[in-house]
Parts: sequence; C-alpha cells; structure tokens
Amino acid sequence: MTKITLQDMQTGQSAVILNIPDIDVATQAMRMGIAEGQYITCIAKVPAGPTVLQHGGMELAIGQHLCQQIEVQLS
Amino acid sequence: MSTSNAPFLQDSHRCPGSSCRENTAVVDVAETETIVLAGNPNVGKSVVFNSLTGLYTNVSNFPGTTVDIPKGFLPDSRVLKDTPGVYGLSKYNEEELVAEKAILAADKVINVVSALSLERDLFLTQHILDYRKPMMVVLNQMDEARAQGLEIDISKLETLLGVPVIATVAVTGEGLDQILPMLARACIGNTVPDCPDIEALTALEGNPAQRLHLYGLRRKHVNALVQQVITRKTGVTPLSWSKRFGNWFLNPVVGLLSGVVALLTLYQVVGVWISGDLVGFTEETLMLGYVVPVIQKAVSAVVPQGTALYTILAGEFGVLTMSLQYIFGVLFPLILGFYIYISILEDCGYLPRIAVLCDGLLSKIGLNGRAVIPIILGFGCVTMATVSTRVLSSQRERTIASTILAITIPCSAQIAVLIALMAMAGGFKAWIIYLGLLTLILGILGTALNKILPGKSTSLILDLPPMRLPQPKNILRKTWVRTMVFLKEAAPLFVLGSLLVSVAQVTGALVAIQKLLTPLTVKWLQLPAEAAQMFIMGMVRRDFGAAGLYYLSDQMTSAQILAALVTITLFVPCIASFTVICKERGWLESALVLAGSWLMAFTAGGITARLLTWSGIL
Repeated sequence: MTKITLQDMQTGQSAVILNIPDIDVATQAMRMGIAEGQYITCIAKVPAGPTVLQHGGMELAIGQHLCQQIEVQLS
Repeated sequence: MSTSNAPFLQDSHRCPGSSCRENTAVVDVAETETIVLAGNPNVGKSVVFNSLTGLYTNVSNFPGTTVDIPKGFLPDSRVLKDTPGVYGLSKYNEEELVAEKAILAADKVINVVSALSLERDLFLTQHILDYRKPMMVVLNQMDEARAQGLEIDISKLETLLGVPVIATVAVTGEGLDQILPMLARACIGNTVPDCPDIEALTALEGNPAQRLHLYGLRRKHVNALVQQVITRKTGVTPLSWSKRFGNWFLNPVVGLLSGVVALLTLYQVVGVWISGDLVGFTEETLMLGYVVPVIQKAVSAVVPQGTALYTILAGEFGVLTMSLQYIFGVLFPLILGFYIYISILEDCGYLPRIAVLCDGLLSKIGLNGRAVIPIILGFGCVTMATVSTRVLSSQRERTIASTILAITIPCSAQIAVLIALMAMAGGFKAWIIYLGLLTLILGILGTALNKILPGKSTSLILDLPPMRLPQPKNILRKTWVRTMVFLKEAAPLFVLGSLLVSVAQVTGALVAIQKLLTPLTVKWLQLPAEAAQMFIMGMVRRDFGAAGLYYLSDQMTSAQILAALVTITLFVPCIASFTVICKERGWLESALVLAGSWLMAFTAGGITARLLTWSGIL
C-alpha cells in the first residue's frame, strides 16, 4: 500500500494517520485528538483550500499546506 | 493584553491569609478565593459562567473576541473568572497565554467539557490535572451526546479523573444548580503516570521535542480513559441537520452565493442604515446640533474664542468637540452594528465556514482563513479591525493583516461617501474599475509582504462548531461587551488623535503640509489645487477626505474623481487607526505603513489618472 497525504484524500474516504513530521503541527494536532494511529474521515474538500475531517464528534478544517505534510493510509 | 495582565500579577503575589487579615479588618477566606472557569471553545462555558454569576460573557471563542477575562461573583461572593476557550495551554496565542496564567493563579478550576468531543476536551482537563490544581469537571451537552447514541459512565469518569464530575445541559439549565454544591468537593485529581512536578512541567512547555513527548503520553492516557467511559450505541447515527447544513456551506458554490448574500446584507444594514441613516442622526442632529454647541459655549466661557487653547479644546478638531462627536456620534452606532452582525455570523457557526472557504485565497498573501474576521471588520472600522488582528497566530500574519487593512480596505465611513461619488463618476463601470484596482493592489501588496517578510505563516487548523440558531439575548450581550471593550481601548486614542490635529492646526503645520502637497496633487494626480486639502482631511478622518472631494466634484471629470478616490482609499489611514497601529505594531512598522501608503496612494492615483484619460473608458 502506497502512502498518501491528507491532501490526496477524497470526500467520504476514511484513513489512519501515519506520520506528522512537523513537530509544531504534530503538537497542535495532538491536542485536537489527531495523532498517529487515529482514524479520520474526509467530509469535505474545498478546491485549492482546506480539507475538512471528521474525528469522533468534531469537525476540523486543515489548511492545504499542512495536509500535504500529513501522511495517511486509506482504510 | 494589557488589560488582562494586571489582575493576575496581584493574584499570584497574594500574601498569606493571616498576615493580610491584620491589615484588612474582616476578610473571609472564601471571599479571597478565586475560581477559574476553563474549557475548549464552543462547549457552553459562557452559559455556565452566566448561570453562576448572572453576568454575561461571550458565547464562543471564534477569532474576533477579546482576550479580556470576564469576571463575576458567586452568590457567596467568591470571584469567578472566565477564560478564553482554548484547546491547550501551550502559549500558541494570547488566548492560551491568558488562560494558562489564570489557571495557574486560580484556587480552584471548574473545567467545562463537551460530551460530544470528550477525546479532545479531556486533553485540556488532563493538562490542568497535571498542574495539580483542585478542580471539578462539568460534562456539558449531554442531550446532544445522548441523541448521537453516546453513553458516558459518569461515576467511572469521576474515578478515573479523581475529581467530581457533574453532567449538564447548559442551554436548558439541566444540572447547573449542582455545580456550586459540588465545588466544595473540588480536589487535586489523577495526573498522567510519572508526571513531573509543576516547575518541570512548565519548563517542558518551552522544549518542543520534550513537550511533544509529554503530549503524546497525555493523549494516550486520555484516549485510554475515554475508551473506558464511553459506549457508542451500535447502529447508524443519523447525520444531524446542523451537520448537513454546515457541510453544505462548505460547498464552494453555496459558499460563494451565501457569502455574496452575507456581504449584501452587511452593506445594507451597516453601510446604508447604520453608517448612513443612523449616524446621520447621531452625528449631525444629536452631536453637531446639540452637544457640540453646548460644549463650545461652556469652553468659551472660560477660554476666549480665537485663542489657540480654544481651538485645541473646542475648535473644528477639538479634543472635547471632535473626539466626542466622533466617538459617540459615529463610532458607537457603527461598532455596535458591526458587532451585532459579526456576532450573529459567529454564533450560528457560519463565520468559521467562511474562514475555511477563504483560506485558499488568503494563504496566497501569507494569511490563513482566520484573517477573514479582521478583514470583514475592516469594512466597518479599520481601527477596530486592527485591534482584532490579535487573534492571528503569528506576528508575521498580524503585520500583513494590519498593513493590508491600513492601506487597501476602505472603512464604512468612507464607503458611504464613496457610494455617492461613484454615482457621479459613472456608476457601475466606475465601481468595477475601482474594485478591480483595489483588489489588484491588495493582491500585489499581500504577495510582496509574504515574499519579503522572514519566516512563514501558520496554516489553518480550525475546529468547526455545529451550525445552530443564535440566541438573541446572547448576541446582544456579547455585542455590548465587545463594543464597550473596544471603546474603552480606542477612545483615548481618538482623543489623542484630535489633540495632534488641533495642535497641527494651531501651529500652522496643517497648512504647511497642504502647500507641500499641492504640486503633487496638480501635476501628478491632475487634480484641482484645492484637492490637497482633502488629503489632509483624510488623515483626520478618512470620510472627511472623501467628503471634501464631494464638494469639489462639480469641477472634476469622472476620471479625475475616480483617480482621486483610489488615492484617498490608499492614502494614510485615519489618525485613530494609525495610533492603534502604533500601539499594536510598534513605531517602526507604523512609520513604514505610513510611508508605504503615501507612496502607493500617489503612484496608483497618478497611474489611474493617466490610464483613464488615455483609454477614455469613463
């Protein structure tokens, strides 16, 4: 299975977070409950904009630049 | 946050009870105890605060709110402080700094968490537990959790956290009466395994790698805890209407259409009704008709008319006259209107969704979606908008946002005059050219700043609260608090501004600058010589500049009017917003903004004048 980033996810797809390389981003995401090993669902993609994820009961919008750095594996 | 820091200093340096009591006669221990309310944004913290104190605070914490700490008293007269909603105490922005300071200084903490997002919310709870603060947890939004098929074992949660937990439905008031009785049982709960002491913990926060490691432990601990207390009923949980509705707004087409509707409403309400009709009444009729003459009469009884002192106090730009007229006649109704509008958008959950849609565009100029708030506010009052740039995460973004606001965004006072002048300059065609030019300049300026400024801007990570119907009572109270906070902060600056201008008038500096500008106005901008005056007036108040142009307009061609409007929009922000920029961004940056705005205004104005004449479009 090839690794993809959050940016490559399509609306409706679910995935598990593999790696968040940037330490600052990882810290911030960790607080929100998004950490390596967590399952997320992509619920919307704004063209040339953020990706909206669902995780537990919350919805989170993540900017394009960050999405390109977060590695995930589709499930 | 100058306004919020002082109380903390007093709190953290409080002397031991016994020695204090000798000096201050009868002070009960309970009276000196400070309780702090903490929690993530949008968990219902403020409703809890209101019910405990009867005072009001902001409903949600989406950018645009102030970082001031609302304070109230419990029935037994203990102090209850609210803190901004935060996801952690990691000093990522001023809100987190403020919240951390308040929590560290507290005697007891009431932590409000949402049953809908326990996994996220308990992370902050664990952080406070690790600080070994006596605390209790208010588990809110239980009704929505039940509706989504979530079952939470409260007594197990209590055992695992080691602190009392109360389940509530804050909006209906269910369970709120149990909070105070339970507060007496607030205690230091369970830390993560092998948790370092408080000093080591705070030191850890300064080391990114060690901090991430600690957060990892905390996250694991919290996730395991949540696993034990939550049972998710199997079967399909229907997508609630608010979620469907919310997702719908993220569709670019719907987003764009709703954005246009939102802007048109804003234009009608704030641009036409408030800054036109209402301000017309408050400024012209009320202030200029009654208040200002009374002040002038009173002043002239003490200081003879015609003296320099009289001009400074009660002249055209007088400290007592113009600042009062401006603050109460213009700003007050305008700010009130704008904050009502923004509070409605915020409380119904639409604002964060606009932020998401705009993120792509804004990231091209070194900002992220959060910057839509200052920009929307800028169309109301650039001074107010500049203050709100505090919600942006980095200094770099604040610099970019405040520069763009100061130079390219026309404020509502200006827009009102602009509308009248556009009709003379050719209507629709003139608007298109004007808006096109300003957007182009905004784009160039933003892109340039994004290239020049060192470092990189932060990307968007934004929690989208569910869409819901805003509560009128909350909107009104929130608007009132914000308006008051802004006026308290800005009013002295407006007074200072009118003092500066009056002194410049008395010393002849105003006329001197005007003379200096004349060649530039006539030769380069191809405008009548008198137009120099309008630039000076534009510094006093941006709409004065445009209004000055209005009187000259019958001697000018459409092309001249349009070129002059472009120049005036780009030209120096008004003196009040300039003082705010100085305060927020420092003198060097403000001087650069000032120089930049002169340069851009005259360059763009001159080029526009030539292009319009040459092409003959208008």
